[in-house]
Amino acid sequence: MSQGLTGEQLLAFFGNSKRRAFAVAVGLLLVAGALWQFLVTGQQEALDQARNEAQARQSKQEAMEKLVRRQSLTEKAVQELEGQLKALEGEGYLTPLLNSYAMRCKALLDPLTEKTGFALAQFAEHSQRMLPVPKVGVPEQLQARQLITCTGTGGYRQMMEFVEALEDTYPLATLSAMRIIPTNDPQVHAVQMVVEWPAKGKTKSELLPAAKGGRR
Amino acid sequence: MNKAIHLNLLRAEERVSSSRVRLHVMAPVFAAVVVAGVALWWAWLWTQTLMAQSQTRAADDAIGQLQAAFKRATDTTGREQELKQQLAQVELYRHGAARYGVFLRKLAEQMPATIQLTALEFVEPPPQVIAAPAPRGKKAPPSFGPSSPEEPVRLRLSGRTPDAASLDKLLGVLRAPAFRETIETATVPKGAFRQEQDARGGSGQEFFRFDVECTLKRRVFE
Repeated sequence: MSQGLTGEQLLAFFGNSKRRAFAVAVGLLLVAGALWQFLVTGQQEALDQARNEAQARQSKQEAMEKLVRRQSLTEKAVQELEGQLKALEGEGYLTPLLNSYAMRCKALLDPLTEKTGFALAQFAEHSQRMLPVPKVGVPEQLQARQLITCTGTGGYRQMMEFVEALEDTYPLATLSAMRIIPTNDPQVHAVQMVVEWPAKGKTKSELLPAAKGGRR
Repeated sequence: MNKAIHLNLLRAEERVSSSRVRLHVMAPVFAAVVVAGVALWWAWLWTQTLMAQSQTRAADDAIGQLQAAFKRATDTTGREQELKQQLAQVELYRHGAARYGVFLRKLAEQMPATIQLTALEFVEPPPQVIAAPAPRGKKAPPSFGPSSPEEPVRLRLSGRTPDAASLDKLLGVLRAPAFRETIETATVPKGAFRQEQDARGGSGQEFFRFDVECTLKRRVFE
C-alpha cells in the first residue's frame, strides 16, 4: 500500500467537476485567510499607529495654536500682574536699593522718622526668613520675609507714633522684634527694632544648597 | 405486506440538484468574493494609513512653523504663573502680618503709675525648621519652607515697682478685655519677681524688679 496519493488517484479525484469546484473554493478561502493574517492584520496595526501619531500631533498642534492665540491676552494679564506687584511696593513690598534692602528700608522710613521725631541711626540687613508656602502647587519660595534691624533713640511716645505710622503707611511691614532699653535720660530710650518686609525670595535652585543642611 | 423498493442507479457525480443555485458553483464564487473582500479591506486600510501619515506630516510642518511663537507664548504663560504665585505668596504674608502700634499706645495709657518699665522686648521669633531630620541612613528630602504656617510671638516686659500689688495690677491690665485681641497669656516666670535695694543716691530704698512674659496672638501665614 502506498502512503500518498498516486497521480491516477489525484486525476480521478479532481476529474470530478464538483470536487474540483470545492477544492478551488477551499484554496481560495486559504488564500483569503493568508491575506488576512499577513496583510490585513499588519496593515490594521500600521493604521492604528499612524492614526494615534496623527492624533497626538494634531492635539499638540491644537494646544500650541490655542496658547499662541491667547498670547495677547496673556501679555495683557502679565502687565496687569506686574502692575499689581509694583503697586505692592507702596504698601511695603521691599525691593533692593543699590543692591541693599537696608538702604531701601532707610529710604522708606526716613520720612516717618522725620514726621514722628524718632531717630533711627543704623540699618542692618538679616538673612531672609521663609514663608510657609503650601507644599503642593507653589513649591518655590518666590517671596520671603526680609528682616532689617533698625537702631535708634527716642521717647516711648515717639517710638509708639513711629510704629503706628509705619503700620499705617506700609501695611505689609511688621514689627518682628523690638527691644527698648532705658538710657541715662529717662525721656529717651535706646530702641532696637526688627522690621519685617515681604521681598523677593529665592528659586528652588538657589534654595537647594541651603535645604541640604536640613535646618536653618 | 408489500414493501416499496426505491432503486437509484445514478452515481453520486451524476446526481443533479433540482435547485438553480448549485453548491459546487456557489462555493468557489463565495470563496472568490471573500478573497476580493479581504483584498479590498486591505486596500482601504492602506489608503487610510497613507492619509493618517499625511496628516501627521502636515501637523509636523504646522508645529515647526509654530515653534517660535509657541516659545514666546510659553515664556509669557510661565511669567504669568510666576507672578500669580508671587502675589499669592504676598497675600499669604499679608495674612500673617501683625500690627502692634495700637497695642503699644494702649499699653502706655493703661500702665499703672507705680510701674516703671525698664525694658520692653518683642522676642525674636525662633529659628525656622526648614526640613525634618532625615531617617537614619537616608538622605534628607529637600524642603522649601517651614512646615508650620504658625509662628509664636512673645513679649517680655521688665520693670520695677515699689510693691507686689502694682505688679498684680499690671497683670490685671494685661489680662483685661482691652488686650485680649493681642495678648493670650501674661505670667511672671518663677524667680522673675525679686526684691532689690536702690543704690542710686544712697537712699537704700527697697523696690521689686520683675519680668512679665506675654504670649501674643500667633502669626498665621495662610
